[in-house]
Amino acid sequence: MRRWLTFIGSRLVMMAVTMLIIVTVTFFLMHALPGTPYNNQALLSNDQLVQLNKKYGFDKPLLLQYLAYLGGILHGDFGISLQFSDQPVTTLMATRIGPSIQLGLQAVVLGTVLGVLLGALAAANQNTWIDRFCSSIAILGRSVPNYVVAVIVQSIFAISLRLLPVGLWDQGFRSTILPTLALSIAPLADAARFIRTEMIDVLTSDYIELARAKGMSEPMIVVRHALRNSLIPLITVIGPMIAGLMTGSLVIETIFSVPGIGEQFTKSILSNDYYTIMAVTIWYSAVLVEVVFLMDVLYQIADPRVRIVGKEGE
Amino acid sequence: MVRLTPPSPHATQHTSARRRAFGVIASVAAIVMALSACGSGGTSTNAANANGANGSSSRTTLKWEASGEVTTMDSGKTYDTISGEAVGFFAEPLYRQDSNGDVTPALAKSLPKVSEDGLTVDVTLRDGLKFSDGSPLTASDVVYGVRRVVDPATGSQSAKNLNYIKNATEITAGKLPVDQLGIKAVSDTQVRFTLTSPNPYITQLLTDTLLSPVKQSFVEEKGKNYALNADSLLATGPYKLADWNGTNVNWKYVKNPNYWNAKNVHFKEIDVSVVKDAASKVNLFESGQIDGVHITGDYIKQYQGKKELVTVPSLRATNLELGISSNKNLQNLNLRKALSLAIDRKQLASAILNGEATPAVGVIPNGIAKNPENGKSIAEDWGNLAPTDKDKAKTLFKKALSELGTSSVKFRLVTSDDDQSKKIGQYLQAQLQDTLPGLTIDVASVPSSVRFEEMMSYKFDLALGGWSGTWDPTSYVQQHETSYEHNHSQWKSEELTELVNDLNTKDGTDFKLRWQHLKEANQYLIDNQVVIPLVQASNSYLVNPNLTGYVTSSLGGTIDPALAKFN
Amino acid sequence: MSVADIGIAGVVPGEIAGVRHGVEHGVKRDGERRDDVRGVERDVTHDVTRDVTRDVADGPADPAAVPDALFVPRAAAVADHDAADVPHLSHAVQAWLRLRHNKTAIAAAIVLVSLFVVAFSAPVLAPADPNAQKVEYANLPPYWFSDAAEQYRLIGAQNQHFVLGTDQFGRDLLSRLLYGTRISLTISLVAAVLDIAIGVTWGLVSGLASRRVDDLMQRVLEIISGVPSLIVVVLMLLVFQPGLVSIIVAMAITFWITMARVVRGQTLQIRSLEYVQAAIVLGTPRAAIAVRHVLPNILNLIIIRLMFSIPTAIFFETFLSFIGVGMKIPNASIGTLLNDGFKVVRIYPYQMWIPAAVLCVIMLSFNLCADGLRDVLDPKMRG
Repeated sequence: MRRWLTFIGSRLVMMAVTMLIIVTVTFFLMHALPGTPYNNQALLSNDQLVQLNKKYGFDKPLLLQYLAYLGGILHGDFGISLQFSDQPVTTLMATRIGPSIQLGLQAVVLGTVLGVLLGALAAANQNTWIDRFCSSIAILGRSVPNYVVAVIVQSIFAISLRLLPVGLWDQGFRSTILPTLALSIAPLADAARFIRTEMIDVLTSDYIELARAKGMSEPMIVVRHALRNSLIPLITVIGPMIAGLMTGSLVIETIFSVPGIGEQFTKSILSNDYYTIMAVTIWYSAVLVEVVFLMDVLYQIADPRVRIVGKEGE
Repeated sequence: MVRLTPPSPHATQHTSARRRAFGVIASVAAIVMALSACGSGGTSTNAANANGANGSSSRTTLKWEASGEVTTMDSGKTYDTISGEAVGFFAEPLYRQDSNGDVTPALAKSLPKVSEDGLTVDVTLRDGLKFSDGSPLTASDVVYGVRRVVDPATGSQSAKNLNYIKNATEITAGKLPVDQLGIKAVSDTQVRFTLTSPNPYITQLLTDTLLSPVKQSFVEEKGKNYALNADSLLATGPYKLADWNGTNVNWKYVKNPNYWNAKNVHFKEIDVSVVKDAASKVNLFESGQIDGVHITGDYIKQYQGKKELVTVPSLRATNLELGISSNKNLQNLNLRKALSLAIDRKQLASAILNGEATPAVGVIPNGIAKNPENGKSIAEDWGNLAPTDKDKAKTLFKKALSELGTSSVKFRLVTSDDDQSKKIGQYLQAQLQDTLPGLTIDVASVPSSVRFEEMMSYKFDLALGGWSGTWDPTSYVQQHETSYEHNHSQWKSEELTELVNDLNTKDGTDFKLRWQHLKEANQYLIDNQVVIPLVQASNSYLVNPNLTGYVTSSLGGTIDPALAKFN
Repeated sequence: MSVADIGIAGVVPGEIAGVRHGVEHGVKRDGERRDDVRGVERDVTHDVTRDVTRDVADGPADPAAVPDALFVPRAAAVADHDAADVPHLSHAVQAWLRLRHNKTAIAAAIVLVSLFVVAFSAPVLAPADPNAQKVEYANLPPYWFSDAAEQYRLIGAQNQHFVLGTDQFGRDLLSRLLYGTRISLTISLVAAVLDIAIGVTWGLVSGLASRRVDDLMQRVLEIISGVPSLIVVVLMLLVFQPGLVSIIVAMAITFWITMARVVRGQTLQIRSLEYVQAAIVLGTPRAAIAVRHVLPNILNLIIIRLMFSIPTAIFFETFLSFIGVGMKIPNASIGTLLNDGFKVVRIYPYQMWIPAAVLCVIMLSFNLCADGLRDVLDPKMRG
């Protein structure tokens, strides 16, 4: 127990330090981007620019701005969005993150479940037509960019067949179907191939041979032992997948007119909307760092042979 | 049930590997073929039936579209078309303009009274005006609203648009307190403007929603939250804003019962959705989900001649700006003229921009003003001062090269990174390089703010710029005046300064004299090729043919459906 | 940048199955890993005790009954000290023999090679200058399309034969596609190589270094992966000129992270093997250990990852072009072609689907080859 506490404690500290460094690096990099955050620069006079910079505090030396920003964070003030005329960034993020998270999670769940099924089928029937079929799907999934898939499904289901909405986010769950489909192709492909490899490995190992020798039926072996043991390593793959998908996909969001954070983020970078850039970066790295941490913990719990906690020195 | 066989240790993959590969390739090929074939007929076939279903006469909800999120709903801060349009639904200006350009009173009761010397303008408001919360709307609310715009504490990026009001420039620069602004509430219903100099376009200028009244007590009560969501706004126009939380992509306008002209408002509700992708817009229009969308690019061609297509020319000029002060080669007049003559503006406007623009005829856009004596347009009266003549261009270019003592010239052309700008950039690069051997052009597409920064540094070669002036044509020539900040070429000319000063101060309301001076200024800029005009933008829309009564505006090329209705 | 945009999770499964993020791997498969360590050939089952043919029915043998002549010691020259009774084939040859059977991978390899040849012969094969505009011929479909002849005639282009049609400026799409493929392949190859070089070095150093240094390097890795790569990319493209070089640098900067993690994991694992421990104890410098022991064993992994990271690089390049920070105008890459085609996909579908098909073929071929290679080189997959 004490080992766990020490582990968690030290990791938390480590995570905080990592995030701090990420934030700092991003802050200074971001200010190195040429351009100003004022959208209407064409019509601003130099006097006005001075006034505006004074108002938003951009005339102070960078270091002071940085410290002020950090101080603000501690109070929960993440600044305002200059693109959106002074909307607090937290409001902006709150409305935009939802759709991205929803799509991301749905895509991961759909993709992983189907992928595991495909991969398991393929592995259990290695080198038969089933294997080849499932593997082909997986390979195709990795070979086609998700925006091509998006345009295809949009053409078929929304425009030609009129079964689903072309875009926007106003029809509840129905609006999420096509974007989820497009986004899930990649996780599906990855999960399928991963599970296939893992399971093949497991299915040819000694203890499985033993189970067979003892007379256990093949389906039982696959489900009870092989699948179970293959799923555990899958955790490490899903983690980064989730982190990536939760930050929103710019392209999918544009094609389906989804009000998510991916598209917002790219626009912020291109228009120097400082506070928004920082907030999204913090969100992104927080998710990533936490996901990594969680994965390690989960993995440790699931597979006690692996020792992360309480590693001995070399 | 799939038979699960234990994998054999020595299994290899030979048997039907070929079949698998073939299967994959075949399905990909099939998809490609199918989509290429069936995709092309998709757009126009549905036009007929889609809108028929929704075109029933007494529909009271309008479904409208915006091309992007609204950057601000504060009527004192709008600076782009999207926000301007959005705010127009609920922020009533003093005057409105109809599709012919004629000014009609809105919040005002009658046309403004201008004093003899042209420096004082009196606007009388209607009686009984109210805000959407029922409270009375008086002249002091107008004064407060206008002061807010120029107050540096507000940080409005459009403050410059009010420079015709006395002391506005100084107040914006922080040099004078706000109450020194040339605006006063003479009585509850009378507002008096004091101008910097006599301005013949004051009537048109007063149609700006920037001047919309704002209730001081409301703003102070809401503090930082003012205008950040629908509840923190009061409406003075035909509708009230609803369901807007600051950044959403769907919101509503509901009819404002306290509007002075409420009886002529036909819609109970207008639903707005943000759609950014050009293809999606067309799709949504075709499926009847939206009644009016802004279309661009090749889609315009698809709808040529159909009744859904509505094109509104605007007065936005797209120019090729020259960084004359920083580039020795650009200082050669023959070279500049050669560049201008080598560009086929007709082809650019119709083929490349698909009719989203018309060729420019000079620095001042056609249609912004007419000759007061005979009513002729700029193009008719002054002729086409931006012609194309590739042979002459070649000759002048050769001459320029020999004058400069070099056999090749290289320029960097910086454009914004939106699609249209990139398209123009690519086109110009190819055309200029083809027509003028020895010329090399390197195109750089960067975000807008970066391009502005470069232009404002005055150190650049060529830049694809645009200029949207106000109703006063002087604003287009004033851009190149010696002391003006946005004189990106840094061209110095006393003659031009004199002309501009005359137009701004002495000419007053003598339209004949103004026309003369404008003509001279325009001619001067062309003779010296200080800038190369390209095209005038226009905006194209797909509108439900059953919708009537919408107002088009040529300054921004917009459509306003606030007072429209379905047949 | 979100990983979702390049279509894959940052981690490629299968070949990294042996490595868990941040986890010491050695424990799970210690015993089973032995046979992929170089120096030990995979032994064909060979029973060396069957020198004497005996029938089971004969009953137990009487050692005294076995003639002395049979007890000849094997003459073992020092030279064949380690030889087994099978011909000694090098690792690469063995791999090739196995690979030969995988028809799919061979087919994919042939496709790839032909693609490369065709693309890099673009200057010779392209029928027109890819950047030459002729606006009158804009947006023509491929001449062999059913309704094309009519359109060509209408604008007076009846003697033109645009195999893949033209784009909005009247530029020949076949030429643009050829040159574009060349550029995309170049970018991805160079980026992949850089990625491997940086990633492998980092991973090796990190894996062989002391615990503290390793931890530090891992943290740095986490930080770098936390800074959104899109910011770095955009920054680079704004500060330097957009174009080939900055795209490659941008990609190299962001891609090597996974490789570094994978290599580190493998290095740690190999390091825990006894003979490597022995080498360390004996004082062999780390660099030597890296080159002599670790590198050969992870070579398979590197090759496989190289093959997989090329498609990823292509994806990333197309994504960059898609959002508009890609190649400089007017140069074509598959990404810019896709982007341009996407904008008009409902009116001129061929402008998007043709580059998309080419992209898919490239990706498929790389993936199939990589799969085949992996089946052959990755010891776990040998069944």
